[in-house]
Amino acid sequence: MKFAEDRRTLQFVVSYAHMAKLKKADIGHVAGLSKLTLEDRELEKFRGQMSEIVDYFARTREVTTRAVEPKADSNSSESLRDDKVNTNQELSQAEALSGAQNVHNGYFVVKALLEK
Amino acid sequence: MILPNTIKELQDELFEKKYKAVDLVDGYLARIKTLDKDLNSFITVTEGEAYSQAKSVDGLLSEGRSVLEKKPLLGAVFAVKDMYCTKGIRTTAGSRVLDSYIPPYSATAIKKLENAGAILIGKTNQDAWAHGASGENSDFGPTKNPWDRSRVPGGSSSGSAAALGANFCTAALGTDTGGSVRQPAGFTNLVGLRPTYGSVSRYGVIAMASSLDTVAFFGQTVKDVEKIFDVLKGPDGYDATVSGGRVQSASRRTKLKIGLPKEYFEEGLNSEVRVIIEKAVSVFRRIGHEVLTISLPMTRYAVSTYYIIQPAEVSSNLARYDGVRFGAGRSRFGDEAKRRIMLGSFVLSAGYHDKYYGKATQVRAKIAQDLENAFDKVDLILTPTSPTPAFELGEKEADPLSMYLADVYTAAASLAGVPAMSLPVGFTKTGLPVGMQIISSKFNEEALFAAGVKYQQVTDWHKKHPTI
Repeated sequence: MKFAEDRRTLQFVVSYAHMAKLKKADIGHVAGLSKLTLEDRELEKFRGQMSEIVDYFARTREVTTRAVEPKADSNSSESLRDDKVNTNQELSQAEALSGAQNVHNGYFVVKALLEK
Repeated sequence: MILPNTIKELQDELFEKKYKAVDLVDGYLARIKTLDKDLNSFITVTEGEAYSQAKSVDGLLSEGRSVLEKKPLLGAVFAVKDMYCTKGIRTTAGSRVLDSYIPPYSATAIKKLENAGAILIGKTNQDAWAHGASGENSDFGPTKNPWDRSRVPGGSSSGSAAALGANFCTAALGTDTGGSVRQPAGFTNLVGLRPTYGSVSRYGVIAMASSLDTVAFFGQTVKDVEKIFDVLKGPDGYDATVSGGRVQSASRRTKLKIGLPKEYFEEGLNSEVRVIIEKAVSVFRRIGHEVLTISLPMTRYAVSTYYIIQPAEVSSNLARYDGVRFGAGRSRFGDEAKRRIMLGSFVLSAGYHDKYYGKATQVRAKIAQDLENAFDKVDLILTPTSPTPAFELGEKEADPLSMYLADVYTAAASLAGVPAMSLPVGFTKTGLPVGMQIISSKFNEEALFAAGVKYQQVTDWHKKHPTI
């Protein structure tokens, strides 16, 4: 099976590159960056799974990319519309608020960002 | 009633007055009611909308067949993946974060279908946020494969594939980011097209990975898929990647040069799938195409590159779900969404950005170049759609990396932005469908249609349906 083969290669790449395994603290750090709250049990589960996946990413390092222009998109052209208001595409205030669970006097209610 | 299998058959029968569009809706709804409890292909069935659209269709039939010029999809009954915003109809993306979200507007693709006379029968189940290759990451329960209910229908457009495979509709919309229409099409004996990136507007489609996401769709035949593409393509002014005036090669050459990339036929390909693909290749030879072996040396890097770039974009797109303007809060994300958001944050984070994300964007350029070089020599590239037929429910669920590797043959075309189509080419000994992928150069869907239509004229795999 390909998967088995991939895993063998993976082991090789890992030992070869001396990849650092992700630690629980690393997962806690990226969870924080991602605004996700994880339980301790989840930290451990994701640590194992994500280490394996990140190890697999290391395969891209076999490719020589000196002087290769990065490609962030699969389309080089971009067509922008004129910066004009299109009233056909406007949402009313009520429509714009229709999905919010917490509104007050026609506004979205958000948590306070600054404290006194 | 006997339900039609193709859009053409349906329209012929409507004009022959064999039934009315409302009878069709009756027929499909009855089938859904009895059979979908088990398959779980729909999240929301849109009975009211379907009947009201069917009545308008019936009102247009008296105009005769000429009405098809302005309504090319007249009467065609569509199931739509729950990634498409539908005004006034709940849209969940398969996630509990959006389980009560009712969009105040519709996606362009939905509007185009409606303007072309199509009928919406329901919103289909999917891996939450389109993250997955099996449908099992749905917060609304897994969808089963109509060909074998112990197996997955593929994903992430799992519900759309199962619904069309089970004849709950005439055609279906999915989305394809890394293979999410092509792979389930292969698993359920359907035609699935991922068009060129930048040919169809994604306005109103819930974003997963914006440099890769495409509006993609399923049909029973290549001709149906071509008809849907003709309706959906072109700019709407709301997706900057879609520009008008792209020239599609108008010629329908009957003899094409087809390349078989040797890297797609190496270790890892299921032996039954290999034999079936080889038979399909010999059909192509017999009908006059020239087949040659080519090499795509970057193939082995496609999945790793894809699974760096895609989560990076996921982490950004899913950052908007904060529970303030719509939807619930971030605590409702399922495991796979959490994993991808965190992987994305990781590859973009300080100290790792250049090593992972930066590197992957360079490898992506080389993968695209690999395909471009190939299209200097051949018109089409032919590969299996997936290394195996549909796998069992639960088989890969606890092992995310093995699920990611299911995209091994579909990721390269996604990264390069070229069009690719899966079509039915046979069955394993136990009766599981096998799909073949054909890939062409950018904006050259014509070559896919030409080869696909011709193949379906001389084979009848696409006419086989599951007994359910």
